[in-house]
Amino acid sequence: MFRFWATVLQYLGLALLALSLNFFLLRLAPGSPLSGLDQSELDAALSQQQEERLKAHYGLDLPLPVQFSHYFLRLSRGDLGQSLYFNQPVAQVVWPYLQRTLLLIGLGFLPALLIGGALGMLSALNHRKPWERWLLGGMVLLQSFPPFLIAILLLVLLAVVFPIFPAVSTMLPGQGLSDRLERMVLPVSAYALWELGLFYLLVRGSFLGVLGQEFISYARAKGLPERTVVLRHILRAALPPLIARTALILGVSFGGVFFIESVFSYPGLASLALTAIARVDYPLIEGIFLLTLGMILLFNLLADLLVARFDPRTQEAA
Amino acid sequence: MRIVALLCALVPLSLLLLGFVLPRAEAIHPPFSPPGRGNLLGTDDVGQDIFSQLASGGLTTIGVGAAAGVLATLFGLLVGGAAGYWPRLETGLTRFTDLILTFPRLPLLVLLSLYLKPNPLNAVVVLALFGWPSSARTVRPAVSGLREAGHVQIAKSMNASGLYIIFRHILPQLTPLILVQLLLEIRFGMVAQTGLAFLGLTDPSVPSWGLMLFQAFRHPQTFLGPYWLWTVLPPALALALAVLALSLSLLTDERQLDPRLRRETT
Repeated sequence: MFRFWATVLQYLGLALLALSLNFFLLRLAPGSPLSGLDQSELDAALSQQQEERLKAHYGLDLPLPVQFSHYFLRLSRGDLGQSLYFNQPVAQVVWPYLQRTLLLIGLGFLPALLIGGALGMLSALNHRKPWERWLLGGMVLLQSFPPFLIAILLLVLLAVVFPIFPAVSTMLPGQGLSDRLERMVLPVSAYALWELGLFYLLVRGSFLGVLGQEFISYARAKGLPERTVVLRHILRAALPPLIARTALILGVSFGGVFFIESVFSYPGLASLALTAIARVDYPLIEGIFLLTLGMILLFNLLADLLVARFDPRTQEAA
Repeated sequence: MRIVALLCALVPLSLLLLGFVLPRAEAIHPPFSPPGRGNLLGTDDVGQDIFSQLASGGLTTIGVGAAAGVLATLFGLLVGGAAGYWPRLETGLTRFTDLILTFPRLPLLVLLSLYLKPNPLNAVVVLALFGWPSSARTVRPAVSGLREAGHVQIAKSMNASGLYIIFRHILPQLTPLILVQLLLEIRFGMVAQTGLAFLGLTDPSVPSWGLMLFQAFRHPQTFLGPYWLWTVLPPALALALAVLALSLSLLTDERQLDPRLRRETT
């Protein structure tokens, strides 16, 4: 129980650090929050009095620590602020985009996990066979490719050279379901391919670690059928660390999916972020990054807690 | 495997060398002209020669990646070495390393590059700032394993300073480990720099492979004609070859490093 709260506390600290980074970076950046322009242009546009009144209105004349506590209190009410470009609350703007990003991750994650996991298992059980080494090499290379490169190569191959799928994944209000699904094929497969290599290596490594241990040799020596050995002994020992790593990868994928989305102009968090950046919409930028960082930290926390829950070895160590 | 890695490295490395020699690309040619006479790889949408962009872009991309990788690894060696050598520092530094490591690197890079001036120097600093924990984490247990080794004890008895022992007597033994870490960091730096440029978050006047991709993708006609053949493919393939070269040499290195894997190849 102590361990549980220590972990949660550590992540709360991290979240606080992320928050303050987000807050102070913006205030330290050149330019004024009022205009996004530099000081001389601001002086030309506003009189001294107008400027001060505006600053007072937005609370910008207060000392930084006070501003920070205001910001913190506002966030703790779940209020992410008001988007300047959309002129709506940030949370309201972000929600549909976040849904689409989650859909993309959800659709790509499961096939990648299943196929990568199955191949990894097969690979570990057929350790040292020639085809297994080729598979391993291929997967290592696949896993080393950055997500946007996979996406670009996939786009060129399946949308331009062989125009099977649409190259652009923009969603319009009038589209039917099948059209929408067709537009999701390429981004989802790019994401799945990127994760595939990772899962393959994870599962293979985890299985190989278990395979070399004595209790597996013992189970085999008892004359247990291979199926029972694999399912009941190897899988059971290999699974707990895998669950935690999977949660970790889910968190990381919020970073990778950013690039895949922008290759296909998929209307997820990434394209919203790029719009926000182009329009110098600081509250929206802040909101999106808080959400992304928060999501990743949440999955990391989940991973840590899962390790503690499912892996008895770490409990002994604690 | 080594030979394939070298062959892959040939293209990016010769581009890097040409980047020092060739003049910067200027918009003086007819736009979107196909590869051929005059322009070896054609021109882009504003009439810049692709090949010279590729060369000077390689200088930026590989330069930023290599500088960030070297800095991150060095800093990681310092922190990891100190944490492994002095038991009193071990817990604190390890905690700190783990803390930074939990932070997601890519979104943070995007965020930081929004607020800092988008020049290559800042990219190197930010990449190094968040790159060191993984090498610190790799080096620390190896250093603490050598802490009690005979030759280290002898050096200590001769009143050698801690840093001297770490850098002279401990780290040289870990060369393969450090080399792998360095290659990993360089690869990450190159990929991250390209990614940032691809999102349009770097200085548009500094050519890089990611910037070329960004500009090609931004132009509506790129995929409507054959233009992608010489605006998208060359920078994408250059990066792919660079990544492949690093990954393949990592693959061979890791085999030699890890005794379990070494048995596999014999």
